[in-house]
Amino acid sequence: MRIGVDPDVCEAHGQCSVVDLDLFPLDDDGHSAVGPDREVPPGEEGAARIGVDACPVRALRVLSA
Amino acid sequence: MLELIGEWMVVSDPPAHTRLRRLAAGAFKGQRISAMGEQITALVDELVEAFTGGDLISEIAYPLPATVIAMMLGAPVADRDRFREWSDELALVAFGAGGDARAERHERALRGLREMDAYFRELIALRRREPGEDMLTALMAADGDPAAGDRLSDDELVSMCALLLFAGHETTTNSIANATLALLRHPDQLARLRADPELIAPAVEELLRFDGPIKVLNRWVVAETEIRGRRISPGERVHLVLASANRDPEKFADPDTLDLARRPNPQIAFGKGIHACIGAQLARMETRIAVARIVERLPGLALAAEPRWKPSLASRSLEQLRVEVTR
Ligand code: HEM
Repeated sequence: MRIGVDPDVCEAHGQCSVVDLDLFPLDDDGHSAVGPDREVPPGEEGAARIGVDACPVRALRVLSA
Repeated sequence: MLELIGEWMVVSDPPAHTRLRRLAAGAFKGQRISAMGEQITALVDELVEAFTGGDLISEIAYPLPATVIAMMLGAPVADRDRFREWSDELALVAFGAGGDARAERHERALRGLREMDAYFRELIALRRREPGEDMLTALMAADGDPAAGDRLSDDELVSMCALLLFAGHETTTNSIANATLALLRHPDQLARLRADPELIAPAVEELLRFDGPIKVLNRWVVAETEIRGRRISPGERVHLVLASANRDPEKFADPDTLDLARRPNPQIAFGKGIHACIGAQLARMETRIAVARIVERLPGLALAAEPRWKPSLASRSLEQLRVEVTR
């Protein structure tokens, strides 16, 4: 599974990081540091999906299952 | 005793904040919180079933979150009531109390907190000997920097337990109470939620936006900043008014309208950025379960007295929420 963030949309709500800080790291300003395309470690797909859904502005995306 | 509060991550900056937050984050991961759903539902059912009218805060909204934190930290059932007192004492010492009784109340609160400190130390010693499934055990095991084997010390664990109690009790009480009041004041929305219980998740986001538990956060400015023509300089203190941001007409259409199905809903009742509420998932779950059950199991729910807000700057908090119920 791959996930990514659109930095132009991210508003630093931090709600993804609250689900799982390892999958959804933040930069010093609190914006997502997931990057445009990141691989989710096997077994963590459920948490990744919850984290993506937690974004209130839909900046995060599941790129491929 | 005051060090316990002075080192809380909520009042620290990176890099100290980054380390504490990373250590705590492991223990707050999604699965651990989701696993608490059944227990929370059982607690809520017990409180709601026993409720025959009166102050919904003292009977449901206030006891629930303190018990959840005690449960989460793995405290024995018999000790759970003490968590409520400690939480009140923490608030008194952290925020200070006004009035003539100030010094005396403060002294009493400090005595209570010394007792809390001793209690947490004993619980920590027990969990070091006998690890459990609880969050305290997870906090102990959490590794900030695997290469260096970075762990929380006993002092830090005590401080963390106190922070979780302080940050997670009154806020969640107010989230449940304010949500219930908003629904009572908007019968059309209450009816909508009763007709469509699946709406509970977006409904709670909207209720948090509409009347969230924290009105204002404070920050010290560290860099020259300009916002809408106003210059703010390093060293100045700013108030971040969440309650106002959550009604910003540039962000939310008809911001003063309660619309339980509002989507998207970028409300900021849990703050933003690196300090965003670490307990947000837990708080959402507690509020969803409690509000859903209140709405479903107390069909004749109605206000019994006009509620009053506490005269507090930071928190949006009712004195009481007196209601009638007919089953
Ligand atoms: C509806 C209920 C709640 C609301 C509205 C709420 C709101 C907030 C807000 C606005 C902040 C940010 C503070 C700041 O930026 O200065 C925060 C931080 C925090 N919250 Fe919550 N909270 C709630 C429930 C909880 C619960 C249940 C817990 C834990 C059991 C918790 C633990 C914390 C902690 C530890 C922090 C500090 C995080 C940090 O500094 O990195 N909160 N909360």
